[in-house]
Amino acid sequence: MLFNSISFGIFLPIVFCIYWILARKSTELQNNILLVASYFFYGWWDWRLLFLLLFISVANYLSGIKIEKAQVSGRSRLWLAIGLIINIGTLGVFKYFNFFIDSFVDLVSLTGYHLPRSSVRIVLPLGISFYIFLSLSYIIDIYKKKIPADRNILNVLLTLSFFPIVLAGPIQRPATLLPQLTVQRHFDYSEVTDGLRQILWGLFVKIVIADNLAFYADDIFRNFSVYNGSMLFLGAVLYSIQIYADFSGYSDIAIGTAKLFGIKLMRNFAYPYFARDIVEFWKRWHISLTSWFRDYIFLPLSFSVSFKLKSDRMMYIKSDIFIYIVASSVTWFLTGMWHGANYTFLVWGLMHGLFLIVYRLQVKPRKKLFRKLGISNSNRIVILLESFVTLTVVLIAWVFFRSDSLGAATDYLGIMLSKSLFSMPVFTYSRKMLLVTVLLTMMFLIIEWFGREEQYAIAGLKTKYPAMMRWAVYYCLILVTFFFAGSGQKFIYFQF
Amino acid sequence: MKSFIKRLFIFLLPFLLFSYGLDIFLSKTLKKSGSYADGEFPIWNTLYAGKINSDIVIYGSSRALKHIDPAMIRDSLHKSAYNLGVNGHSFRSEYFRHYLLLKYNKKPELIIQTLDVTSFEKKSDLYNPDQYLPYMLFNTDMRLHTYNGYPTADYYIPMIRYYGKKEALLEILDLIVNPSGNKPLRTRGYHSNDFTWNNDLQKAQEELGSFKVVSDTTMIELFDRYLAECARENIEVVFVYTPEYIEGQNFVSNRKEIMDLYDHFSAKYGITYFNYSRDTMSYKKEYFYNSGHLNSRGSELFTAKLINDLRKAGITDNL
Repeated sequence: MLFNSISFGIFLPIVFCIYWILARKSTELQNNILLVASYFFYGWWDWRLLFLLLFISVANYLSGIKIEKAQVSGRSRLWLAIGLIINIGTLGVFKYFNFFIDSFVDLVSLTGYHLPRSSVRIVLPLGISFYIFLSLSYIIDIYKKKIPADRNILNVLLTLSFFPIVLAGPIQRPATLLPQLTVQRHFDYSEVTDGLRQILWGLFVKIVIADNLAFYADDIFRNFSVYNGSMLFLGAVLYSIQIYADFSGYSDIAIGTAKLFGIKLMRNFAYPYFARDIVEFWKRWHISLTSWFRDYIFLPLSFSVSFKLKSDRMMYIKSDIFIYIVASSVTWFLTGMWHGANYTFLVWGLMHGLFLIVYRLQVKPRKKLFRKLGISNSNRIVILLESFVTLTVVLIAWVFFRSDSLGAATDYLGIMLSKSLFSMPVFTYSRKMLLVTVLLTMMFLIIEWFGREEQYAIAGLKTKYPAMMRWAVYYCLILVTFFFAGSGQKFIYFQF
Repeated sequence: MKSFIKRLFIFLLPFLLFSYGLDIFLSKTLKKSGSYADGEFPIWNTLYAGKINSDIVIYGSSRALKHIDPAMIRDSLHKSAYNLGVNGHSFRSEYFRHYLLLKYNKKPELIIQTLDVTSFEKKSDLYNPDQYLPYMLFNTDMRLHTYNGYPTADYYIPMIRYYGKKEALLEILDLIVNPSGNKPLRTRGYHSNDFTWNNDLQKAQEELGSFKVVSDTTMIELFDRYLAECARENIEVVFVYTPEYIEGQNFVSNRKEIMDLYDHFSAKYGITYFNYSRDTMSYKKEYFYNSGHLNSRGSELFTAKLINDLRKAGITDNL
């Protein structure tokens, strides 16, 4: 069931009432209710997928215990390897099998032989990338002795299937989620109302902003060859906002839902389009995934490469820069691959890796240049210019992310960056509806700007404004969401 | 927890209290629109208000509403006429309008029943669903006669059918802010298009090759019952197959089977049948904007021809 569906609107209050009325005095009962609700929620899509989720959960539960026990005998690395193979192997089979088979057939066809394409297609189980990454964190953290292996299997099952996060994150760290499940949650009025507020904001952002923008962005990307450059530029801008609204809206609903049950989740977005540079952008975008790659790939890889380097230069490159290039390239290659089995995601990931490397390379020379020219780093024009460059590169990369193939992406950019970029856009849509969508999007961005210091844009309402004002805002949001709901689109990140 | 539930209830109370009033207000305002939802509201309003009261009524789909001008009928035959053609729908919706006509209005003397190859087509979705919006609340008649459109709850819970209806809301705002800009799209249900020939047929032929119309047997049974009902009520019915561009006639693979059905009903109930599918008009592209629809020039010419044929056949003598 989707967060923006009627079925979820019925499911959530029922689980909420059972949880707080029947189970408020027992941790075990609270967890059992959440576990049943989570498996029901996940099984709603396709009950057969529950077996995979159960298999992964049990395998990681057992691996965790084995890793911990083997730490005395020094064989924990073996059990970790087994755990990693199970998780990565499952992800590989379900997510990349079709891609590798197709790529192999394409590769062979270059030699003149045409192999038949396999008629066997493996269906991608929903949320697999998210719960597998959470599972990986669990066993790696046990191996690193950051957390103990949980002996209560129900805790592990719940951690890996908790319904607000099972489909699309935010990817939690067991070190912060598991301890919350082992203690009794008490009803906290302000926490629950904060959760409802965040859900309301998330629904508005997803249903009104993302779903309405999707109508235009989908049309422009689908029929890009008939539009001029300025329309394609507009399409790229609209998609950039759509994907942000879609995923940050989803994340707000997920985090808000967890708050209703007294569980705090990791933040996933921190107003990324207000970032000054690409490094800051990635500290604000899909934080749970970016930090996962930082902690489990980038940093261990950087340390590993640095230990192996014998001199302060490698291939005429300073060792710290060399380490950064190697670790960034691998991390962003994997980040691209994580998003999906398509070359478009791979190129998107590598582009961001390249942007980050280029950014890193210009830091010192720029400092010197600024010092020489007497320009302050906090100069407003510099900040504005830098923000503009960041948005531009991010926007270009989104074209690859959204396009169906690399060819389509390059064709799209070819038209977009041609002379027709400076011609007037030709609208075939209802002008009234387009105007309303633009106004609502501007309203959304303005609210985000004023709320940028908060965890989510309207979080400040609870402390800054009187109840009457707060309620007026809530009523407005509910009415706007009710009337201006776009055609119910699935969440973009569900495909990953 | 208790305090939370209490405050949540107080917060939601205005929605419960005002939703019915808001629904009435929105529906009442929206009904005034002359052009929203393909200009269907004035027809529904007239039907429900019992103001059709015409001697001659025209039934059918878009090929009825775009082909037969009731004003020309009135001027030539000196009989009041109204076009109840409903765009994009098959006989089930035509019958709903017939039902409402008899329920709230004076019985007509003559029904001009236009026919299409798609008159009994099984529809998977409810075309132009917004036309029902302002009339749906607690309207069991409408619930029973519409299909695959709205869930049952939409007919009995105020406001929920307006979810995501932003175009409707904007139309309502427009009607409030600029009421003088509201112009009816149709005249007594009739609306012709001043278009020239487009490539719809060519595109359809390229995409589909040919097309088989799947008829709904329950709709054919309904048609049979309707004709029997008209005979009982002493309402005269004539069948009219309005001009259809000749090249488009080959597009439907089971056309003959459908045409035979109309001949069968015509014979069974002794109904006069004017079939213009082989009329000279059907061979002239300049009268059409696509294979099924006449343009303004074509519809004017056709209405005059139909009036003449009705006269010749003596259909209008006894009215």
